[in-house]
Amino acid sequence: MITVSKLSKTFHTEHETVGAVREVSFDVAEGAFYTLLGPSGCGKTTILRCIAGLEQPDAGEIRLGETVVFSSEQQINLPPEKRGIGMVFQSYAIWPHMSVFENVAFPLQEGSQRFSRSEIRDRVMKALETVQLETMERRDATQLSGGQQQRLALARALVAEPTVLLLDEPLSNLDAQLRGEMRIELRELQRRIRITTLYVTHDQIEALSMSSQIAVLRAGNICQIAPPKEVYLNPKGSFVANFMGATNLIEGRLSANHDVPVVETDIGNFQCIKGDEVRAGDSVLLAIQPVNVVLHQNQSAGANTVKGKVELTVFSGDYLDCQIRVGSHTLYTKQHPTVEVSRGQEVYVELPPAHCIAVTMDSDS
Amino acid sequence: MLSIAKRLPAVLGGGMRFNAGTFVFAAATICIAWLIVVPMVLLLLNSLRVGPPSFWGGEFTLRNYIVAFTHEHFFSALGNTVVFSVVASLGSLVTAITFAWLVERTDMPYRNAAWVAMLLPLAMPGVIFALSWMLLLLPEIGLVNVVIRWFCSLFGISIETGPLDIQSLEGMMFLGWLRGVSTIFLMLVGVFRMMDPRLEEAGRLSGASPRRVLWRVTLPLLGPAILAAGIYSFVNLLDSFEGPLVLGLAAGIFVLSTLIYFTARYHSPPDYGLSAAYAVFFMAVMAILAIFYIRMIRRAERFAVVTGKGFRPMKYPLGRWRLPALGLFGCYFVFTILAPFTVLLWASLLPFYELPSWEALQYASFDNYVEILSNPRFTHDLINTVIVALGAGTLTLLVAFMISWVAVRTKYKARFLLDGLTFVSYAIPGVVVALALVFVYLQPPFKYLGIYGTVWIIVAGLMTQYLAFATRTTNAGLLQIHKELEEAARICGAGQWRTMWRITGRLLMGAFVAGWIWVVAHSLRSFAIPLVLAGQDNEVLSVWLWVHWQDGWVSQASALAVILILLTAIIGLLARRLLTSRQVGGLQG
Repeated sequence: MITVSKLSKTFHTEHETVGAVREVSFDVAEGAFYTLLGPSGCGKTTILRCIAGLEQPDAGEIRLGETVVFSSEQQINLPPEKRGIGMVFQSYAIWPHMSVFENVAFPLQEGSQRFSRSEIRDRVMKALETVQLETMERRDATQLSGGQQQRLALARALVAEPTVLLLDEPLSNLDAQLRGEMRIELRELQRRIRITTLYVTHDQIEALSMSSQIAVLRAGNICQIAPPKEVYLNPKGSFVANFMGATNLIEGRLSANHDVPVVETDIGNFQCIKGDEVRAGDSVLLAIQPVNVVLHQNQSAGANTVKGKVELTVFSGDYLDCQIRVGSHTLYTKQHPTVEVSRGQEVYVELPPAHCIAVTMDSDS
Repeated sequence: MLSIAKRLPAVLGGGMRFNAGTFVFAAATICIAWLIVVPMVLLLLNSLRVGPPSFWGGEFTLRNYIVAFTHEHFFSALGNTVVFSVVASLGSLVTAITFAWLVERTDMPYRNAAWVAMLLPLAMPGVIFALSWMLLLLPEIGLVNVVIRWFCSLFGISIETGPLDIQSLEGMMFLGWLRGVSTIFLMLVGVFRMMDPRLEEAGRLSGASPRRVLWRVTLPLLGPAILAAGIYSFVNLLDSFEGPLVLGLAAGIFVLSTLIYFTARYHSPPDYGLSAAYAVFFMAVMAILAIFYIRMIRRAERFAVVTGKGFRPMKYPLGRWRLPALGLFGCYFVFTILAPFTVLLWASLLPFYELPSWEALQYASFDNYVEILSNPRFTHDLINTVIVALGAGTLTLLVAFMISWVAVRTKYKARFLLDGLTFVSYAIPGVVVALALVFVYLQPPFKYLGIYGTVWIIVAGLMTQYLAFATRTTNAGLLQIHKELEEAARICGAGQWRTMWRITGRLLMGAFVAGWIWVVAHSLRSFAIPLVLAGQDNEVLSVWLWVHWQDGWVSQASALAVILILLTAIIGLLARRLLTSRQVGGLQG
């Protein structure tokens, strides 16, 4: 549905290049909920804005369905109003001088298709019902709460029945509880109307919980494209692993001498799982999420167990955060809050093989 | 690959489309070239030649500069300008700081009345203010002098004339000082209000008394803002024209602005080349000061003490000084409004000016008002004044909007140049603008526009002068409109022009109206530009007032002055109604 090929865009400010995109290609299938995930400055918003027509790429091609909306080779660059997309902005961009109704009616008044007054009324009311704002139509847009403004922006984006919906970090301005509710609501709405959606976020929880497909970006390049579970369980490279929350990264080498993959590190050898791109003999990082690290008071028979000393414990309600010194490394763990460990205590640290992932070493991560 | 893409036009596909960005950029560039660059370049060229302005020709020569810099008039005018501006601006600054502090940071009573006393002087046109003080402080017939002489005679001291003479450098300083206060007060009062009181509370908790906190914390923190206001006031006074003209012309005391006018229009024969040389020098000095001012504002902004959160600042207890403090505002009100207005009102009721007495009151009538209002020249000049004010207001704001749009919303490299030129143009003195326009519209190619001698040349001059302020207003307005509001409209299917009309324009209306009223109000009482550019048909009311007074019709001119003051006051009140809570920040005055 959305086809982006070899898209490049650089920004030159006075001192540096920011938000650049380097020859990025990806496809979004019809009806998919596709997420561009990455830290700030990785270029995800730039890609979205290029698709919307709000930025002009330096090179590449963008197609929406069969329509080429941008092509540097064919010298095509459709202005945003000709692309037939819906978009929700990070700031919502609700027009403060219009009522709720007028905000939603705007795309119908300005679009290429002409509608009669009563048609506009019907469609606006239907869009407002979809987001449960039908009782607010007469209000000033500025009187709405943050969550309501967000829904209004969604109604406005959907009212003209676009083929593609672009969402630019729409939940980042909401408080934590509302964000959780809106995640589910947004995903359900997308399932219901089956609109092809491109979602931009820096929050891996949003990406994992909502998407059908995730593209992880770093510094203008795509590191991995995969469904959420795969990105989480089998991250490609140390950057994705780290971004997905596997903050324990131990340097080592993938051994060639075993039937199962084993990483040899200076604190011991660990069985692990690995992706196809990692080969025996490679320098790798052993990645494991803090929640998957198991602590034992006594030496148990389990494999992948090493001895360490508790350096620090922080009780934070849901978890007991511990830092454990093992040789020259510090491992971070999240334990159940009832676990009894204290500072200075010697413990045995088990890194269960199913959660240990050997990943290639990315530079600077 | 990249190099091909760079040449790609901004909007292609579906045929070439008319791009709003390119159009606005081109229009803004043309306007700035026309309003700022061309006048300044022609001024410079004409300062390098001799002969009347209407015949372009002759060789380039440095004669004007040589004459200028060896002329005794020039050095005395330069000295007068510096002394006048330094003394008057320091006086205004100290007074304004005191007033702003009293209003915002002390428990002085009747703060609203104090505010009125500070705002009302803005409605008094400068030329009228100076003329009214002539009636109060001329050595022979000045009312104040008469009272002083009478008072002295009670003690057996007899004085023939004086003792005070407004037609002197001291007189100019006195009026410059009085007139400067309101503007600086408005610039500083917000800073005093918004200052984070916790900074002062921290001083108190460290063991300092309120008085020590004022000296060690409050004033130093406000230092950069105060300095910026001081420079602003200094630049304003350098630029001032009405007071020095009214008070200095007869006595032969010149400052740079009046010297330029005198050399071009009074001197016989008029020497436009010499005048242009003075003007170029004047402008260079002002430009340096303007750049200094910009750097000052930046520093003031770096001092992040002004937070804008709404808290109640610490109030300094005045104790038994509460009423004397209010008395200061009373004095200011008497000096700037009550005394000048009363003496003009008195003069306007008499057939010939006389000192107030019971006999004179017998002759009082409204005849002068009838004379003025029934004079066809009044209707003619009133229409001109209205056209000038509305024309300058509307056109200035349109150009300002285009410049702001380019500066804030586009990525043209030249946008910094456009915005910078506009800002620096604030420093061009009114007299210099007017003189430059004489050259522009008397010489090819612009003489073929035929606007010399019409009201439109005055409109052009006022546009140049007020563009900087108007652009700051629209810049601020546009910066407050989140870019995504416009982008959302584009995504929703509206083109560039429709977006500008339905979103940008509508959201900017508040700032637009505020700037418009400001320019209209200032154009109504503008004097230097209409005077220098005055011809047969384009006279405005303030110029007639001055000419009429010069011709000896003091009483009729006073009646006209009273009418003008009431008009500007009414418009000012209407404007405040319209703008209620909106603050026009930046360059007030």
